[in-house]
Amino acid sequence: MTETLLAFAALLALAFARIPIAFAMLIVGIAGFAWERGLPASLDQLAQTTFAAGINYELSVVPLFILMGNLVARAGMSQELFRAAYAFIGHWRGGLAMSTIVACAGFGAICGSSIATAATMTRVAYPPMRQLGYSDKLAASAIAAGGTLGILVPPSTIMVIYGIMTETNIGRLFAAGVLPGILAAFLLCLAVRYAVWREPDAGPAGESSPWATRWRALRGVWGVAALFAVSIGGIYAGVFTATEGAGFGAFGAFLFALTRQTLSWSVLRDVLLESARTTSMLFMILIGALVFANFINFTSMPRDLQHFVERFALHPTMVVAAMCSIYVILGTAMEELSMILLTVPVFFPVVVNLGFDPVWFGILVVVVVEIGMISPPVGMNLFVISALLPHVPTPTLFRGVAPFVVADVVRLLILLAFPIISLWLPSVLRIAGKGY
Amino acid sequence: MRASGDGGGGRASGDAPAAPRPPSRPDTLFPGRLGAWAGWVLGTVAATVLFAMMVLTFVDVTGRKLFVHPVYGAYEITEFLMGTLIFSALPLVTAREGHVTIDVLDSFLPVWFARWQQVVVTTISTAALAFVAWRLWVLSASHTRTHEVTMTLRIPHGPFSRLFAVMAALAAVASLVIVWGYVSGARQVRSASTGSGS
Repeated sequence: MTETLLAFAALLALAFARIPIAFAMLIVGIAGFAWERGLPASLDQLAQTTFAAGINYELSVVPLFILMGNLVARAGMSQELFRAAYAFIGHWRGGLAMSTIVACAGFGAICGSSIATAATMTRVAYPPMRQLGYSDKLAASAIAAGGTLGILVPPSTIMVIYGIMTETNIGRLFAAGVLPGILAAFLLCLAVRYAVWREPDAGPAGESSPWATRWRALRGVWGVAALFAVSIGGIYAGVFTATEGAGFGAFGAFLFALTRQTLSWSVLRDVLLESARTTSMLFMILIGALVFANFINFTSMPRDLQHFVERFALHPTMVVAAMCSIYVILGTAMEELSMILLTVPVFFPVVVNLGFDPVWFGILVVVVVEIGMISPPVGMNLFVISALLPHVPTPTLFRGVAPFVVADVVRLLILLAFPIISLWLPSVLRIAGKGY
Repeated sequence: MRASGDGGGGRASGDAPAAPRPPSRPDTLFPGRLGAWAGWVLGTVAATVLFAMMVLTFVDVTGRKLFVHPVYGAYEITEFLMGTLIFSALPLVTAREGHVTIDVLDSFLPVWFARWQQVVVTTISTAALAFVAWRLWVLSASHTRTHEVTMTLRIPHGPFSRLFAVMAALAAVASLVIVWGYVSGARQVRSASTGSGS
């Protein structure tokens, strides 16, 4: 136990000293493994893990979903989603911010990345909000919060990585994300409601649209619906594995981008290269985390934690609640993906041992990641928004996200208390099989 | 924390017609024409491989579901395309200082300190990359010695582990050039930054 705590302390020290997280995990993992099992075994482990992770077929789902997200972002589909949402709820007070959130949820159905969702929506939704006289505080924070829905509504990069790490069926995870995603959009809209109640000038109402416009706008989203139906629908129906669905989705997105003439050779090369770089960066973190996890698995940490839980006869839900609070606290200061990769090997056995469904825990993990992405000071989505809207002062953004963070914590509590919200759809769809 | 060197603009994709986008910064492995050329070659390889993966998956699945005729060995081809993709982009990510870093403490540190911090930190990264390259090279030697191949297509492992080792070594070189940049003062510590992740 002591050596594990030391290792975690060393890791955090290295990471906060600014060593890239991937290398910090790699270094501590190699050293720790060598301490437990000797240097030759550790060196062997490093090479084997790196090579095996590099040529893992199941993991090829990651670049394909990233590519799909980047392609749909270029194809102009977020514009149509926003227009449709606006036609229905834009005339409410704060309606434009709510439209943004609903459009984010819709975009999340074809994009597995929160950052891409937030960035795309900034370009689409921020100008109209400003035009209508929205405050920067509400406009920017609504996009930051809505953007996190990208990883909850399937497809989702985090779910894929969680699924592969824990051998949980990705199709079931994808199904489990749908209802919590709708709940999330609803709660975030309530947060907008609260924000405009506090500051009525922050989000004035837009114009009401006649029903003819509404139906026309709704028909405009057929592309998103088709892509979701083919790719994710195929996974739900059991026609595709996750990788096949991702490949199909990416190809579909490619065709859409082609027919909308948003692709030139240089744009295509850009999109591909951007996706390749993101993939490479994620895989370095993944390899670092795997090397570190191999070491952790040789220590007594996972067992000790289970003994601890048993000895104190803690209520199972309390244990998971405690884990979630650790995540929320860690998530304010840490990068979310590495946080998950580091802790899941330790927490997962405990959760399964308590008799919980790994799919449910996976959804909770995604939700805490979402909270981490918009909670200051270190929140990925906040950084994306700051970079794209440099004139919005950071403190303004930090204050603006407060109601959204509260809404997210409420959602976490609801999902914690009612596992059925996450588990109902997968059980109805009866997605068969174990593993990927 | 930050990752992509282009301030969020690179990864962050917007809708093309509505918003003009800044042109993405070209990848260069290190300053000079050779570095630019190497960056272009690696970038083209990575982009082509990813495109091939997408097309291969699509053709394989359509073939299997519609014509009961999958691509022979698609599974194994995808595996090696994956590895090539990840490792050929690794030097590019490294050259952009694109690895995810926690930089919450940056605003509390003076600039002169940040510069030497970068020197030390990047040296450690260089060492880690070089170490990985070395171990992959050793693994590749054992792959070649034992004639390790895949089951269906009998693709030899050796050349690929060697390729991964070379790419990791290239990334280490790119990283070393960054260290030198900080030491010589040619490279400045950047202030505000963003971007990466899930």
